[in-house]
Amino acid sequence: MNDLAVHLGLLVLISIAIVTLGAFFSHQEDDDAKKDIPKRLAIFLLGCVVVAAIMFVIEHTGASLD
Amino acid sequence: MPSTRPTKRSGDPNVAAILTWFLPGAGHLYLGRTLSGVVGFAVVWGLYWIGLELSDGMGFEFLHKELRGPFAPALAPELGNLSGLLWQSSTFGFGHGFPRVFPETVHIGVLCTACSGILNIFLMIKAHSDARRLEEPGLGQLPVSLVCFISWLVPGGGHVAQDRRMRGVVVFVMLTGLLVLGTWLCEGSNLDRERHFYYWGGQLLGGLPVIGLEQVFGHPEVRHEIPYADAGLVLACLAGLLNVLAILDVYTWGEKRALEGVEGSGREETAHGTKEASA
Repeated sequence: MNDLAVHLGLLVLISIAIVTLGAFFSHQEDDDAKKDIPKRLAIFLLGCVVVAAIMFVIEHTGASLD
Repeated sequence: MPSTRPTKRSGDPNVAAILTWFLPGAGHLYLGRTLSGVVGFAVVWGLYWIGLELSDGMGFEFLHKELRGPFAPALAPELGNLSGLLWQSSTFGFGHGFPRVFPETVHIGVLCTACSGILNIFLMIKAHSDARRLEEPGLGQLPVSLVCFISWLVPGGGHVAQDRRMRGVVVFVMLTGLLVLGTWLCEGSNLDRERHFYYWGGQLLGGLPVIGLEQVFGHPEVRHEIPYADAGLVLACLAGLLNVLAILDVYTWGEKRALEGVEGSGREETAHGTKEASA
């Protein structure tokens, strides 16, 4: 099994749960919450990509043991 | 025309909630609701006492030695029942300094003490709501504290009780799905307080599905490497933590509806609870 694919799949699953619950918490009406989920999910995943990129850069520069 | 509403004394909701945190039932005694106070104390403290008896007070000895400190148990679910936590910490602490065998009933015992802490949180919500008189009959809905409790017991159950079925089903499928997936990835090793003291507390916020899965699959002997144990542990713990958001959603909805009912009943809310609107 491809390890990276599994981790990415789990990340997407957990992201959907976090974003959906966040949208439900922010909007009392179901229709408003449903409409807001795609945008929230895109922002959440984009944020994860930015954090991963920063960690990747730091891992190979400032925090590198080499 | 004389008021037909209960004449129970109202008090500051925050004081009632904090008193309940210090001692289960104390908030209701402060509000003049003696029966609720006595029953609340008996149930919450009774559960804690049963837990201490079954676990021989060894619940905090699950913590690894390097994690033991004066505030280490404060991240455990027992924190919800402050008097119980302080009693256990001062009486049993982290043991007597020499190794002892855990009793066979230790896991059910720590489950009882942890559930006592969580139950007291809902008693705090009840005391707060009672002080604001948001749980009286005639407001057209189930009591807010009861719906929050149902929401903890079964993720999404509170939404269903509030007639928000679609939202309830989505919450149940997502959170229970995450929990089951996490448990499958961990092969049940996530559901063991001895192995994952703090993660276990986070998972317990998922209510009955967690308790049921622990009784069926928990505490396995691990004799091989579990490839995705870390990921599964995070997934299962997150399911419990996200249930807090679901409970807050249920509370907000219930509070809003109750306040609408209060306005409709001719009362008004003040900083110290509600009072009858002047004619």
